[in-house]
Amino acid sequence: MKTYLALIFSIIFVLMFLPNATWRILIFSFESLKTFLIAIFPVFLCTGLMDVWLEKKTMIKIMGKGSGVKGIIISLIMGMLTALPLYAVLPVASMLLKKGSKLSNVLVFIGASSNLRIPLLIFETLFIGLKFTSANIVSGIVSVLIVSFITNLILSPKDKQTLYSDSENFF
Amino acid sequence: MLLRQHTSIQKYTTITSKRQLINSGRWKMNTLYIIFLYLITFILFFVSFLLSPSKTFAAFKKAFKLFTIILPQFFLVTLFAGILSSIIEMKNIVSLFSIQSGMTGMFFASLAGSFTVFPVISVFPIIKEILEKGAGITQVAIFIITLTNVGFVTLPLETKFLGKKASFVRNIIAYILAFFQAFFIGQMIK
Repeated sequence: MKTYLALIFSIIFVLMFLPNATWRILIFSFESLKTFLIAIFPVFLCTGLMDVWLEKKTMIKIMGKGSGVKGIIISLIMGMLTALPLYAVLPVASMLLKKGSKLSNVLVFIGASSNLRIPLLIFETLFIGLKFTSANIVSGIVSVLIVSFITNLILSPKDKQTLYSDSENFF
Repeated sequence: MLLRQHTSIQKYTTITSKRQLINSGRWKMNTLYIIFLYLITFILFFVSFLLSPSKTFAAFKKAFKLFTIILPQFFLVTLFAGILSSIIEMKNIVSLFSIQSGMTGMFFASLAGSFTVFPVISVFPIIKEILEKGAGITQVAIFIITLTNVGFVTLPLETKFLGKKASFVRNIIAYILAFFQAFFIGQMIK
């Protein structure tokens, strides 16, 4: 409800203060919305499939407690393949939490998807160079691991408990 | 009024068509990846349907529900990006930090990266241009990293799914680490 209200207000704001650019803004937003939706559609469908087919037990084995290094590597590769911007990958992450994945692994997944996604790496190589991309991959993996480790350390068990129970509500 | 709107549409369409012409070869890589994703999804759904049609429909329903949850927020984000792009051109922001060098330039670049919502792939042509004009690779690197990994504007969305504490901590640490990453990349390329 809140988001709808904010949506309406922002549209009114645009129409009131920027009458010259109204069309340009609307066209730009619809264009980018279209590209996002095209990229997101298959990912959401796969998320739905995962939710239906994968049982909590197997998911805990893959990415949950005791998955260790294997779990980290799997979430890293899954993130790179998912290839979505940060705000689009969040519902997928919440599904992973619901299935009992470790929070640190989910954070690795989010970081890899936003920072190390494959289309982005391809574009970096084409526009800037292979050297830049390889340095970015190395430093990106290290930073994603550090971010997930520290965030996991700072969050108390109670915070995590509320996170897990909140993730149940989205599906 | 109407005339003005019409010209603005024309301006926009000519700009995009020019850009598309320049990048048509490169855009193909992205479309190829998306086709690949669709192909995998289709195969998975086919297999799933053969195994159990009812479960497949349930999966469809869940995907649709996800769409309805995220669509209004999504539109908000893209609308915000649209407003931003009409007020300030990305080119101006990027040229601002490309002139400034050293730490000040890095600071500007990191702020520009973390407070804007822009599809990164559309920024690459501009980045290539300013790199050829002599912008620092460290500044460019920190801009790309913060643009992809730090989102202070999309924080409300993130708190909804990850909780306040986790998303704040994640963003702040990612922001700090972006400086180290950029230094590393700068050192490697020298």
